[in-house]
Amino acid sequence: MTPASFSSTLNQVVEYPARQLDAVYAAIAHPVRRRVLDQLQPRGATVTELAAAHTMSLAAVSKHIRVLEDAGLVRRTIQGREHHLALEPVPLSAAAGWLDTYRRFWEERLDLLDAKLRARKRR
Amino acid sequence: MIDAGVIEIHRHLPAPIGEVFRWWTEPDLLCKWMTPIGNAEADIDLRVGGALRIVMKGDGRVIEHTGEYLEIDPPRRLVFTWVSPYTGNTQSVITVELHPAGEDATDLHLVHSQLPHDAARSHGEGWGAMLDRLSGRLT
Repeated sequence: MTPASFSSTLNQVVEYPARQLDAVYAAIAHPVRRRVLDQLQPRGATVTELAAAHTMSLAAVSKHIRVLEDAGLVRRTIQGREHHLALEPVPLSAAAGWLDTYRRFWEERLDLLDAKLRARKRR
Repeated sequence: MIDAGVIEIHRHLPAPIGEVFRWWTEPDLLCKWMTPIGNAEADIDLRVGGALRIVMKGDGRVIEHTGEYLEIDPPRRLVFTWVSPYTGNTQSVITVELHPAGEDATDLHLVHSQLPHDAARSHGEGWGAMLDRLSGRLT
């Protein structure tokens, strides 16, 4: 992994502290909201399209969408009467990348420790 | 045992055990490798209950790590708490165990536990994998 991409992962994690991650985890802990996230792949959908795929009322689906929006997982754009929804990738990758980021942190630190120990021997 | 909130890493290092322990516990040595960005500064009070503070600086950012030593058994074992923006500013625990591997090498076993993802994983079954899948496609 290059320093630049590590740095961008680090930024995501630093910008998404535990409280915000909790909102993300709470949002995706519900099966309807997980299904909505799946439906928004790969290019988003309108609220009407989403509701049509569920056996619940538009109002009920809207409530779940609101939770996803509040967690920063979904972005809404309004064009005329259409409300278009799209996935917001950063909170998801910050949530999934949390543990990976620690692993990379320690792997890279220990790589450097190894290099320093070798350099010291050559002196 | 490994569960969701724990990271375990094994490393073979090219130095005797006492030397490796010093690189983990002496501020001047620790600063040389304990940062992913720019420079580091370390304040270390190496006794049980003593505080450690590592400030990583560079790239326009300052990342502060703080903790407390829980166990010190030179040169074999070091346990300390670790709080940082990485951990969502909640307390995690790092255990470093060193074993001699011949005259001039050391096996290191690092366990970073009580990471906040642990609690998060228990929110519900199934979504952890979904999350991985979604973010894998997005990034």
